[in-house]
Amino acid sequence: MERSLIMCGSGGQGILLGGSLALVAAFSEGKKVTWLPSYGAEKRGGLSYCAVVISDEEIMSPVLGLVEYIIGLDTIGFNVYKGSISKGGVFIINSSLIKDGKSLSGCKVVELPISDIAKDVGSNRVVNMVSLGVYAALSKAVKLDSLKTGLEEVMSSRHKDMIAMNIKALERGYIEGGGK
Amino acid sequence: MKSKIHLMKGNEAIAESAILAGCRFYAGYPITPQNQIPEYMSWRMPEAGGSFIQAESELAAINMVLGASVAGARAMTSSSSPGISLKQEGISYMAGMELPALIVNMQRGGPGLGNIQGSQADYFQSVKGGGHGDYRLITLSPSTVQEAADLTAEAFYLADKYRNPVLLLSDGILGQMIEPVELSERKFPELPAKDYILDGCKGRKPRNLFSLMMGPGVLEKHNFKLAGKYAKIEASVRKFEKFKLEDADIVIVANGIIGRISKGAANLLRASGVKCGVFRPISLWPFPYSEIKAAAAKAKKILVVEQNMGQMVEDVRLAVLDDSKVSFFGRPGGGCPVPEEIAAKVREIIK
Amino acid sequence: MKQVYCRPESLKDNANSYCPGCGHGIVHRLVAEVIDELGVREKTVGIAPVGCAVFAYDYWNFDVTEAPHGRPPAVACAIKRVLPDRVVFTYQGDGDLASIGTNEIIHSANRSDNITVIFINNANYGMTGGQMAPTTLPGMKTTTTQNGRDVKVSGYPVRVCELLATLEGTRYLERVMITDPANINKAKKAIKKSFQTQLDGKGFSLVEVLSPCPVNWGKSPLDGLKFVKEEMTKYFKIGVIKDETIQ
Repeated sequence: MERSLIMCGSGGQGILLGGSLALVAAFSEGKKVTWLPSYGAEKRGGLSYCAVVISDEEIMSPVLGLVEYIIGLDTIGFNVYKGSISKGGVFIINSSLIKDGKSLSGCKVVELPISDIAKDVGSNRVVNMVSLGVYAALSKAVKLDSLKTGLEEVMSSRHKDMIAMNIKALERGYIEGGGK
Repeated sequence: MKSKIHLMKGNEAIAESAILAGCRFYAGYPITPQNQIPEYMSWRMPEAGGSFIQAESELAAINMVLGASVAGARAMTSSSSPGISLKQEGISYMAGMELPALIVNMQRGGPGLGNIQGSQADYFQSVKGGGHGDYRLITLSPSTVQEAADLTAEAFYLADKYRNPVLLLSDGILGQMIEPVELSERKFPELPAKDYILDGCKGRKPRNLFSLMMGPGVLEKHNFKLAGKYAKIEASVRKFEKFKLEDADIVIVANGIIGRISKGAANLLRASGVKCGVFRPISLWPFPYSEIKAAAAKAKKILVVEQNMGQMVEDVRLAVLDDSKVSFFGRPGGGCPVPEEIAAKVREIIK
Repeated sequence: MKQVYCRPESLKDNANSYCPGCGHGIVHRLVAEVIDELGVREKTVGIAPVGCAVFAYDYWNFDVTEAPHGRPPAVACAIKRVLPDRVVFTYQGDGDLASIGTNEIIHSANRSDNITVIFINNANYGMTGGQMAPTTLPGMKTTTTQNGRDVKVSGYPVRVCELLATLEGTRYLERVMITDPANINKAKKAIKKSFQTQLDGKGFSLVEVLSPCPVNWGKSPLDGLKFVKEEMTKYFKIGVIKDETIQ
């Protein structure tokens, strides 16, 4: 089965890091994976997104049309990708920043104040990890443990001291998403 | 780096594969979306005992590669569409001087400065000339990060075997995406020692390398010689993938990233009972004309899908020689179709 | 009998195709003599330009490659990086080096590529029939400045040595002329010093040779030499422009 995820928001929210953690974690579980980022001119504050595909079989398209899961971390990403959710797909919405999540139809909308939860965990910077925890709990496309283990690989050495807080954020998101 | 599966960007996999293939000279100039290649090479090449130079221009970069090849090194450069346009002069000289090298084009949208999204707008430039003069570039188009790494290694072998520049024609998507890739030192048949390089004439007669041939008939003779070489390459370097073609009524012809996305479309169509297959040319020059002709003979319709407004389709038409069979679907300017979109197009043409 | 003069080993026994009074033949010979005297013929790789000297490989008896117009410094840079123990030099005219190849020469100098550059300044494009070069003197007639170079239209002659002297990477820059035996000897000394600079691993050096092109200038060979000495040197000062080989 092919699972698809788009993580979107703006530069500085750790979108690319979050997506690559999903990639590394799924790969560690023996899955086929692809990760395609936005790139180039986008810097802090501009649109940032990445597309992750996780599958048991050969992945044909790393480019996604309608997506099974979308994590929208702010309005910039939400406005661009709100039309990309598949029928019956799941839109995980950071309701701390996105106020019109209700406008979506034909998909399951999970609204959580992800920025506030991140601050509660310790820093707004772990907003990406909270959302990934929620994703792991809802989609079961990747295991919480794999995400936690994968942090070591994706975090640059100068941020290693942040690993503990990132693990806390993943765990908290996982619980917020209904995981046990 | 021993054989192991890594998660790597296409750009980085190309760079590491080049190192493993014995590339010991890289010169390039920054341009998106291929910057990870020079960035990777800047530390990896010195580590491998080779030379990395960030050149002052695309022109300087390709001419540095020319010089390194003159001196006998396995050499490469990389760029993206606008930069590759600037390199064409050097590529033509290298074709004329019969100098091997790898040129990587991670295509982006054009014309002009265009944008930085993946594109296939440089097909004509790659396989129909690019620079001036009557020459050919072996042109290889990968569709996965693994294939990009594999073709990079093979490109150096083919370049040396035929004393001809080889172009790896990929795009921004493959350069930027991460996929698992297995890297290892690959084995290719032994090549004879390079008996043309300039490294000082100790113990032999002085050698020259040039493409200026002013004497009566000299250049014509040289062109006949090149043509003979190109004919040999056409006879022996034909690379392509056939995907579910055995019973296909509809054949999609697409290369590179669009080739694999089209395979996704074929799977969707088959799930709904449409017998669709994909012919994916890997070598764009030499183009697999006869193989496409054979695949087309059994099919009712051919759909060519490209990220441009119709370039490779001309070669497919030349192969099929039945225009009523061949349709085209293109997304230019960095647009990229998804499998559902291609499948919809197929349904439209078989209605 | 003692032999006092002969063809250098680094020069092939081929008649050259240069015009009467042209300076290339002299400079080719000086380069060949220097390479012989330094004993580096068998480890030398030369890079010929696009221009009159494109056929230099027909005259020099060592490895020589051609390069696209203006790009010899980039080609030389790479050859030297791949083969650091070889002697690598470019031989370029003013169109090649100071016009279409300005970027390459500046950045090669700026990297202090450990190469030698022999720069022939004859104030016009010789091979293509005498058009204006970046080094054409103000007021000088060429086939594209038929009333004389008008600096308001075509700008000023480029002083390559002075331009390059501002770059940290240049180690030795000298301008010479080949108008008479004394100056030819000075030119040879400069060329030898430039190759020695490379052999000592000191970095980029360039010798600019003011060289006559009497046929395109519409002058006799003798008047050509006079023009170099009396007119060109007014704008292009003879002498060492920069020398950082002794520190």
